[in-house]
Parts: sequence; structure tokens; C-alpha cells
Amino acid sequence: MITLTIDGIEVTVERGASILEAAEKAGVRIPTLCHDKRLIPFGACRMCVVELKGRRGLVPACFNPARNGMEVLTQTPTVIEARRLQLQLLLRQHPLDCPVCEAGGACQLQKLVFEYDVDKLPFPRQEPKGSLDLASHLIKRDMSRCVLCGCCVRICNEVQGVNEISFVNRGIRTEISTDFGRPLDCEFCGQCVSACPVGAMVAKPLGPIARPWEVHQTRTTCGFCGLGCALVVESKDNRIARVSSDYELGSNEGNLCVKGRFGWPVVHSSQRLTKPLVREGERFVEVSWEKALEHVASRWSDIKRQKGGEALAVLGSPRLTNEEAYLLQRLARGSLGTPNLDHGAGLSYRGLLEGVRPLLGYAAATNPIRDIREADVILAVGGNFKETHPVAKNQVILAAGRRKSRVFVVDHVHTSLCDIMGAQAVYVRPGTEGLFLRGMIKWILDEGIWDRGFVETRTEGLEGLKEALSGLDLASVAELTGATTDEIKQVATAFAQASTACLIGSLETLGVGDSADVAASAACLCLLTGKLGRRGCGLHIYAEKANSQGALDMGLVPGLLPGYRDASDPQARESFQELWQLPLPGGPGLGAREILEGCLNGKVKSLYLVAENPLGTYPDRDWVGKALEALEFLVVQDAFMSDSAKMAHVVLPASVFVEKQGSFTSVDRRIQRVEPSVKSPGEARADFWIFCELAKRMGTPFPFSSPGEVWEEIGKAVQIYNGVNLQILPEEGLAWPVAGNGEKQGTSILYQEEFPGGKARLELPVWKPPQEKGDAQLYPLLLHPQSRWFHSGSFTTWSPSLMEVCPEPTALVHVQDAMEGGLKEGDLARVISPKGEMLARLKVRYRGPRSIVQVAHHFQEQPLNRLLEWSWEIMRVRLERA
Amino acid sequence: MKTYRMNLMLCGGTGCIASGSPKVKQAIEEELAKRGLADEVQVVMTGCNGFCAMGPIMTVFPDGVFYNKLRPEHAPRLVEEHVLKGRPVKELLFEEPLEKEKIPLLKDIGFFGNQRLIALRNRGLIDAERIEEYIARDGYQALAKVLTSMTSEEVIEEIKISGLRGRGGAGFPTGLKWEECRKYDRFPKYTICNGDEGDPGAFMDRSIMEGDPHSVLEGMAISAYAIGAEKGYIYVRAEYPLAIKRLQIAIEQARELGLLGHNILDTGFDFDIEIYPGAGAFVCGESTALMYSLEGKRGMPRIKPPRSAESGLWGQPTNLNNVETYANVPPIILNGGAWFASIGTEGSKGTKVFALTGAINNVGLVEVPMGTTLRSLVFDIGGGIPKKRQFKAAQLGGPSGGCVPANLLDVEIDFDSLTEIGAMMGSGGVVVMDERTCMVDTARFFTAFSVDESCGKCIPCREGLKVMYDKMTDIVEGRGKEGDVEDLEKLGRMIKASSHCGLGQSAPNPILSTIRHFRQEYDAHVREKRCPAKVCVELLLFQVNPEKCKMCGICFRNCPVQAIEWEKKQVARIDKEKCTRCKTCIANCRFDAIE
Repeated sequence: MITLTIDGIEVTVERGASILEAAEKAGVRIPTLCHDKRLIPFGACRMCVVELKGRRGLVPACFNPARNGMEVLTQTPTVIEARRLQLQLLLRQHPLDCPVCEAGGACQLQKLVFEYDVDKLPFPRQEPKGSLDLASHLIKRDMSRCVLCGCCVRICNEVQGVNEISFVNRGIRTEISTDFGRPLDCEFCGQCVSACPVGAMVAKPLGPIARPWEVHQTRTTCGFCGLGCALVVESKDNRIARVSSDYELGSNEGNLCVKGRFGWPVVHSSQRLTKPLVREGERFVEVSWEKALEHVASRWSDIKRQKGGEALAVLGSPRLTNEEAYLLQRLARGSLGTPNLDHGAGLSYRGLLEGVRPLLGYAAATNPIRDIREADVILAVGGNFKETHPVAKNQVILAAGRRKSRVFVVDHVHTSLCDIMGAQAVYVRPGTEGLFLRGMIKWILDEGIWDRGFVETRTEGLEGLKEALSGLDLASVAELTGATTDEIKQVATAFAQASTACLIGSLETLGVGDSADVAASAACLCLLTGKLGRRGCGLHIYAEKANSQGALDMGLVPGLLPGYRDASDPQARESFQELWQLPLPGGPGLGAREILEGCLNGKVKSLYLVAENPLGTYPDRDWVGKALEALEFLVVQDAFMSDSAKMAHVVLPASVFVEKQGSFTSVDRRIQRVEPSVKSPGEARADFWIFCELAKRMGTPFPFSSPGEVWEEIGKAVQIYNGVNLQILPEEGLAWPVAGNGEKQGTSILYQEEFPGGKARLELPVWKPPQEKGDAQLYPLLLHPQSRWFHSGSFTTWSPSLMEVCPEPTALVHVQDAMEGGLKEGDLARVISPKGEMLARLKVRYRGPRSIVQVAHHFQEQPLNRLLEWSWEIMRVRLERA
Repeated sequence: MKTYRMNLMLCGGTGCIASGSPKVKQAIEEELAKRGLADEVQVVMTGCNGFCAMGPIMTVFPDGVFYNKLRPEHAPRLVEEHVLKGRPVKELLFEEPLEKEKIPLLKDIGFFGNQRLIALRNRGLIDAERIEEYIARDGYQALAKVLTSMTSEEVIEEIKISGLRGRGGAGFPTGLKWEECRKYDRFPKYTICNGDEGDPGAFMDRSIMEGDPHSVLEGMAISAYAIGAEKGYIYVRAEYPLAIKRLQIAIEQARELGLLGHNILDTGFDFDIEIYPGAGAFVCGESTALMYSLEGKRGMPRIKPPRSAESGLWGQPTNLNNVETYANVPPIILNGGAWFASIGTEGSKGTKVFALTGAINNVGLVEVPMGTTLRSLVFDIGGGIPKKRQFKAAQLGGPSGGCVPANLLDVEIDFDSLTEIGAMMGSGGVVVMDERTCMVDTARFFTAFSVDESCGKCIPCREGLKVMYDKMTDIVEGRGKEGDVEDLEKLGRMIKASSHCGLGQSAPNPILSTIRHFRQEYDAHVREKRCPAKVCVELLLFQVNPEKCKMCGICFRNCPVQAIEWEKKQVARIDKEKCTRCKTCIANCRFDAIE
């Protein structure tokens, strides 16, 4: 520890802290223009200069380390004079258009000029110059206002790893630009906007124009993906004006992706449902809530009376809050009396539930997101964080850039992670990721480089694992996966011998291969190498949606009651029957696929879809469509008129996450608050309210009137949530399992001392080779359903801003394959599978394996699920010019 | 190796190549062949001899006769007279500019005789493209000594004893730098040679890289051994194609002989070198910017700490020295640090290579012991000022340096004394100026260079220098105001204090040092709107002073636009309507009569 004084105030900081950090701790503000806590200090603006007692000259505080006994003076006449001079120099050519500048009121330069009383310039003013970019999507760049602090360039490089912009030219002609000044063509994350201290990089207006003092700020949690980024939503007149984040607030440290920062116009979309609708023949009629709810309740009651609760089914969504997910399953099991409920097609969570849970104990990622950057070796298997969890990708960039971590990407396509400086890509055949991991495990066992201490004390089943893999040899693994034995050995050795290593991957609803098998192999690898229960290690398998984790925890799945209690366990059944004072339905219940089968074979008469759009997002669109058509009574509760909603008998307009109160549980198990920042349009209501109303009308009212009140019951029902109080959650949230009594304590790293079952289990199912569907001659390419970082399921396709930057599905294919198909970049291509076809805009890549095409889903106009079947088979397709 | 009766050491430096030495070589060789002397006499293309203004130059061995300004047509006489008959060709000998006397022998010429060669020890003696010739001059012996009989600590100790300081400008003790880098236990480490010589008027490093590339390689290999590096880079500006070519040849030859690459001299030491041509940014001479540039990034100085010794190229421990520094290393190892420390002054040991340019007779490259006076450099070695003009000032250290006026001619040149008087050693450029130089305009010129070459990162350097430059422009164009000079001083001090890297911290030096030593010239410009040196066009009246005019008519004859009226025995008159202010009349008037 280092002790020094700042303007006479003594302060103690850690070794390596800068003078600026020490000053912050001492409560002394030192002005800066080019400093951003997310970035490595740069030292360009020279605003932070200070004097050191006993030393001549000025010292920038932002990067000079604090040293013992230092006496720092931040307000001497020389210091003030130097700062004033920098400001005067900047103002010489800076436009004085503050009244119309987007940054007015939030501009750091404006603040400092006012603070340092720079009223007159000792030098002649120069005409402001610099390029103006109005052509880029979402972001406006006015380089005449630029102070060349480099924050945008650095965040784009250091944190995003995109390098879209750079300094160009030298000296007084220096400017920040893209190559040859073209418009931006990047992730559009707007990190540059968030880092710009002035009005040079600003967001184009997407909502009402508002000065900082006109807005109402709400701290909430982002609902576009499962990372749980902290958001600050600024609204004016019940409309969102801006969304940003703050370094101090959450695990995202002020970073956001394009959806979090620019996606919110979805909230104010003119397409929002604002009235309950009831079908009359071919059309919908607007009705009152009273009438709609009565109608739904009475139809359900009729069906329940005639056919039993099993004739009813519920498909919920991982976008619901914890409270809503809990209420929905209680509504289904308790009020409707049906065990048939599921979400995410029953596919989105398989990796966690069926892959990770049997080995480790919890169906969840093990370490905080930020731990990724503490790992010396990062192994990315299956899924591309840039597309599915953009802000978590930043952790990989930070690890590779600052820690010089080694990054291995094992994938069947070339992902952007392969482009990270120093990353090594290992391309495998689609669906063989699990086998590659087995090859690694086999090598580690053969070489004897597993973590003996960890395996002996913390796990069981080593002998069984050796036995199970005894027939495996690396040469055949290499042959089947298409990787070389050297690659298997190299990745395995690096992972096993690293002092910290983690494994990352994402679970998508529509993927290639068996996600549960990949997740199980990954968990097994982490166990064997002792990469669990410690900082910088862990298994980071992330589910897709805002509350994917919470939906699992709350039991929105067939066969599992809240808290992962087995629905067939008599003790568990009894405790819930007692809690709810209602009988529980028997049987394991139907999953998503069986429910749809039930619709077709007449077992399921009514389906309740809550924020779920099976027709748009589940595999095999035609089949799903037939299933929904066969229903006697379809109720859809959503914010938009989705494809599924169009088939409904009753449509209930629901709120979206910025209009709701409650909580989400992030991929790293942090329970975080969701706060309403605007009111829902028209008569759209929160799902919470709708569930309560329906329960009441089904004759089984809930004893809750607000989300906060549900927590007492959740605490009882879900052991790992016991002790959570929504009102006093810390800023970053609380990671379950929460240590209950009195002082609340989260568990950011799982399995530090023991596994839920005492020891973890080293075991692996037999690997099944992937099957392909379709004739290789007719359909030469394999299909990889791709997520785009611009979209979150089909929800964001209602957002005008995101549709501006990503308006249509793309088909990304190797340039050779494109040429052989007579196609080139930008062509409109027909993607044809044995099941069906869709249109997509062709994009070519020059790296990575051939014979595979990545086609984006999300889009309702050109739905990808038309091409798919509901099976593990990998679909073959061909491309034709449209 | 074949021996010859006589060796004609013809200079093959860039300067002499430009003035035609390849053609001279061809002519001499043809002449020799014609007379059947090709087996007896050989022509050797050496590296730069430093006497570029007199090029092409040639020294004849064994007798040591020095020829200058050779042309191909001189070849028959040269061969006939000197090679065959042993009589030096008098017309082609060098004439001492002050004494006007022909001097046949190299050692008697002031320019050469007063030098002490360490870094340039092989100057004019070897063919830079043949490693054998370097080895014959004790080349790679120091490396062999280090690898076979010294520990890395001993090497560093020897360098510390020698007192060698970095020749790139800042003068950081080389031994300490190596010691710091050796300390870090992270591998790989790198050793880099900074050959991005960018100061206007400086060509020391180019001369060494072109003339004695192996001395750089050997120095680098020794530093690599000392710090524990296995890989070296030479960052050379792309404007030095010959240096790049010769370094490349040298590297390949050294690899062939096992002096670079794996298991050097069978000692188990691995070291190899790669050349990286820079793209021409001045700021890439700054070490951290250079490393960014090497990594393929934009060359911009980064913050320190961490120092490069801890986290340099690709985040690994890195040592960086200048070309001349490396060239000094082998002699230090061979002769001992104490020998080197016996040369020079208290704080600055050894010798320093200077590039003499400007208003000086012997334009060229010289190496003198530290502590040599500026007077000795300019007059004894440089041969004084041409056309009997007066020495006014010398600009030392290029755009980062300052001006030394005539009253400080006796200052002993070393790192510390120069800093004291507001100049700096820099890389060793010496631009000599006579009374026809306007100091304000000169300072403005150097500032313009810095304005262009600032990387644009920090505000004081980027914006502040521009403000200073604009103010200087105002002054030389007659818009100067009372108080401008004080503003310049204040701004300059602030830029020095708050800039990030050496470029910004030293860029105000030319203005500050000229204000310090030539304040009266600034005052003349600002108050009287007059340029005493008659350089600043806007301040000239373009009228003839009848008192000074000798009515010679030379102005009349030289005016390109016939703007001057003159008749015999009449004072000339300039027609301001026609005058284009080109200053031809002023340049030609011998009586300083045009104002």
C-alpha cells in the first residue's frame, strides 16, 4: 500500500494506482478530458497536470503512479495556468455552437471552460474545420468539435476490438476518421459516443431531444440479452430520449452494445399492441380488459372441466421477469392445473440443464462475466459472444489485449473471435465440438496433466471416465473433427497447464449439434483440469435471453418445480401444495415439442403463449403453424402482433421490460432490479398484472399485488434465492446462491468449497456423430443458423433503429462457395433446404472453412425456421440467385 | 584473400554516389584494365567518409594521398600520374579553405586530422558490403570475447564503466538501460536499433549504417547477450535505401558465418536481426512511438510507466539504442570501459559524431572527443565560414535544439553544457549560420517542421506549436506586436512543461534559445519592422541606400524583371511597381546597400 497526500489530505492506495485514482479516493477532483476508466490512460489532454512538492515541472496525474510520501498539489497557480492554457488552445478552433450542440450541458469541455473561467482567448480564433459525417447509421460525427482525446479510437480498439476509427494525418491536421472517410460500418455499439467528452461523436436523435436537466433518469437492467447490463434510461414526457450506462453501476462497467444503447425505439414502436383483441371470424375486435380476461378465463375453465387441466398448455418466455416467470408457472400448475409448460422451444436451456447440471450440480455458469479477463487461457467453444452476448465479448478482447491471454476458438465457422489479435482458430466439422473436447480430455488423461489435487478431493468418477474414453484415440478424433492431433494436444495442454483458464460458449435456441453434449464435455474438461471454484477460471456457458437463467430457476420448465425441485418428488409436491394451498397436477408434463404434438393430436386444446412466438422462432415453421391452427383456443400475450399472435383467438397487449418492475437473473446468476422508466402505451399491461387477473378469474387468486410481494414466496420456494429482498439489492445485483440469514451475501464464484452434491461427477455420455439432412449433391452447403448482434430473437425486428442497421437476413458464405454458386457479395440469394426456402442477402467471407453457410434468423418476413426440422440433424441447403 | 599493390579507396556513401562516384569508379577501372593494372591495383567502394561536400573523394593507400571532387575524365591522368609514376595529381588535391594551400595527405587535412574515430573507426577503410573486411579490422572480436569469456553482468558493468550515454539525443546512460532491461524475467525480450534519423541536416546514423553496418549488428548482438534477447529489429527510415540494402547484406553475411542466428560461435547463444523500414514520421524516432510503428500501429508516443525495459515491443521487455550508440559498443568491449571513459568530459565520455552543414566550408561528418569546443569544430575541422563572412550562430540538435551564438563559441560540447545554454546535443546535427541568417526566420523554420511532425496527440504540442508558429509568421511578416515575444516565451515554457514526449518538450527550443541569445533581432522585427539580416521579405523596403551604393550596377544586371534603373556613376533606383521582391539584388549587392 502507498500513502501520499493530495492537497494535504492523506490517502492510502494500492501499489500501481495513479495519482488521479489516489486523488479520487481522497475526494479531490482533478479535471480530465481524455480519461475514461474503461481505458488505459492516454495522457493527451494534459488537463490533469499537478505539481509535486519538491519537484519542478508539471506531472500528468492520469498515468503517473502514486508513490509513498508524495505530496501532490492540484491547485497551484502554475497548475491552474497550465490547465487554462490547454483550454484556451482547444477553444482557439473549437466551434462555439454550444446552444445547438447535442452535447450541450453534458460536454466536458464546456464544463471546464466555465469552471476555469476561460472568457477571453489570448490567441486569434481560427475557423473550425473537420469533416462532418451525417451518412453513418445511428451516429453523427462532427470532427470540427473533436478535441482529439482519442477516447473513441481507444475504446473501439481496446474494449470493442473493432478498430473502426483511427487517428489520421499528423500534427495540426490530425483527425479521427475511418479509412478514407467512409461512413461507419461497424458494430454500432456507440461506445465511441459514450466515451466522447464533447459533441464530436453523438447519437442521432431516436426519440425526443432533451438536455440533461430535462430528463428523468431510471436505473434498470437491460432486457435484450442475458448479460444483465446496467442501464440508465433517460426519459422525457414518457418517452425515452437516451440510454446509457455508467462505469460504477454494473458488471458492464459502462459498456453497452448496439441493442442496449440504440435498440430502445422498439418501446415506442407504432406497432405496439395497445388494446386487448378478440377474434371474430377472420378479424380481431378491440375489447375491454374485463371482457378479454373473462373470455379467456371462462374458455379455460370450460376446457379444464371437460378435458382436464392436461388439455391446457403454457409456453412462456425467458424475457419474463423472475416474478412473472414464477407467477406464470404457478398459474399453470396451480390455477390451470396443467403440468404442460415450457419456454425457449425447450432447446435454449438444454446445455445448462442437461449438460452442466448433472456434472456440477447447478444449471448455471460458474463465474462472474468479468472473470473472463482474468484468465490466461480462454477456450471458446460453440457460439460467438460477439453475436449473442456482445458486451461479454469485450472481456475476451480485454484479456487478449491487456493480459495477453491466449485465446483458442474451436468452432465450425470462422467467427469474429478468431480475428482477435493472437487468437488461434481451430476449425472442426459442424457438430463435432463435443468430440473435440473429448479428444482434449483424452490427451490430458493420457499425459497425466489433470489437476490431481482437485480431481481427488472434489470429484468422483475418474476411473469411469478413463474407462469411457479408453476406446477413443486422437487420430480418429482428428479425422472425425477435421482438426489435427497437434491442435488437440496444443489446446488441451495449454488449457490444462494454465494457472487460470476458462471456457466460454453460448446456447442458442437454434444451433448446430447437441448443445447439452458440448456443455457436458466442457464441464467435464473444467473439472478434470481444476478450472472451477477459482477466480479467472470457470465455465461460462451463457443462455440467450434477458432472464433465461431466472426462467429455469423459477421452474418454467416441464418436470421441474421452482428451485429445481423434481415434480415427481412427493416431498417437493407436498411442500408446494402447502405453499399454494392448491393441488398439483400429476405427471412429468409436456415440453415445448410435445405440447405442439399435443395440439396436433388433440390432447392439447388450448395454448397460452406469453411473450413467446413459436411460429417465428421454433424449428419447422410449417409444422408449428399446423399445430397452432389445430388449437381450439389460442391466447397470445405479447407486446407486438407476432406471427403467432396473428393466429390467436385472444391477444393480450403486454408491457416491455422498460415499463415493468421486477428482476432479471443474469447469465452469471446476478439477481438485478428492473425498474419502469416509461408507462406502457394504451392499455398494454405488465404480464404480472395479467397473471394476477387471470388467476383471480380462474378462482385461485394470488396473494400478491406487486412484484415485491412475491419475494417472500420465492424465497421459500427457491432455496438459492432465499433471503433476497428486491428493495435492497446492491447495484451490481446479488449472485445466487444467496447466503440467507441476516447479512445477505451472494456467491459470485460457484463451487469454491464444495459442490451441491458434495463431489462433482466426472462422466460423459457416449458421443453421437451428427447426422445430416438432405442430399449432398443437391444441397452442397451445411446450414448454420446465425444470430446477429443487432437483434435479440424476433423482438428487436420491431425496432426501427436496429432495422435501419440490420434490415434483412444475411447469408454468410465462403467466397469460393459463393463463386461456385454464381453469387457475389450483395446478391439476394434463395436459401433452399429440403424443408423450404427463404431469401437472404449474400455476404462473403475469405477465411474459415468452406461448405457451410451462416444464415441469420430473427426476421419474420424471411423466417429461417422454414428451413429447419425439429431434430439434431444438421440441415443441408443450397444457394441460388433470387 | 588477394592482395594488391595499391588500393584506391573511393567513397561509396550516399553523398559521393550522388556526386558521381560510381562513374568515377568505372572510369578508373577501365583505365586500369586498359593499362593492364587490374591485378595490381583495386578500386574499393567504401562507406561514407563524411566529407560529402568535396565528393566524390578517394584516398590512395598505402601512401595516404587524398583526392576530392573527382570526375570520370580525371581517370586517365590519375592512373598515369599517381598509379604508374607515383606522383600525386596536384589539381585534384584538397585545398584548405582558409590557408588556400594544397594538402596531399589525408592525415594533414584539418577536417580529418582533428578527428578521433571510434564509432566511425572503419570509415573509408573497408568495403561495407564485405564482412571479411570488417572482420579484418577486429570485427566481431568483441562479440566473441563477450560470448566466450564474459557474463552478461560483466558486459553491463563494462558499459557502465565506459560512461557511454545514448547518442540519440537524450543521453541516457546505456549501461543503466541495459541493466534495467536485464532485470525483467519475462521472455522473449527484444533489442531494437533506432535508425529513424529524422533531424533536418543530420546524417550520422545513415553514414554508419551505410559505411559500417556490421558495427551496428555487433553492438546489437552484444546488447542482446547482455539483456537476454534473442531477437533484434533495426528500424530504418525508408528514405535510406542504401542503408537498408547494406544492412540486409550485412545480416545475410553474418548469418552465413554463424555470427547471427542459432548457436552463435558455438556458444549456444541465439540472436537474429530483422530490418523494419519506417514510413517517415519524425515522431517515430521517439522510442515508444517507434515500437508502436514496429507493431504496425500508428506511431504515437505512449505513456510511461511502464518503461520499455519492462513493457516495450508487444508488451515484452525491450532495449532500444541509437545506431551510433551500438557502433561504440564493440570498441568499448575490446579496449575496456576505462579506455573509453578516458576520452571526453566529466559527464560525457567518448566521442560524438556531428554533421556539419550550413554556412561552413567543410560540410561533412566528423567525430570528435566530447568536450571539443564549438570553435574548434567550426574553424579547425569545419574550415570556417565561406566568403569571409562572420560566424553568427550554430543550431545544434535540429528542431529540438537551440542556437549557440558567437560569444559562446568556446563552449565545450557535451550533453550537460549544451543543455545549460539552451541548446542540446540531439543526434548531432550542427547547422552553421553566418550574418546573413535571420534568427527569427530560422526559428520559425524549425518550428514549422515541428508543427508538421507533431503526432497530434497532446494539446500543447499540437495546438500550442501552431500558435507559436502563427505568431512567428506575424513577426516576420511585420504584424508583430509589443508583448509578442513575452507571449512566445510564456507559451514555449508551458509547452515544454506540459507536453508528453521529447518532441513537444523540446520543440519550443529554437524559438526560446533565439529569443535568449538574439533578443535584439526579435525587437528589430517587432518594433522597427526591420529584418537586420535582410531575410524577411515583408520587412524589406527594396530601396537603395545612396550612402552605401557604390554605383556598380550589379543589381541592375541581375534583376530578373528589369525593375532596377541604373546608369554608370549613378545610384541605382528600384521601381517598386515592377519589383517582385525576389531578393536577387540583395543577394548580389556586395555593399549591403539595398534595404
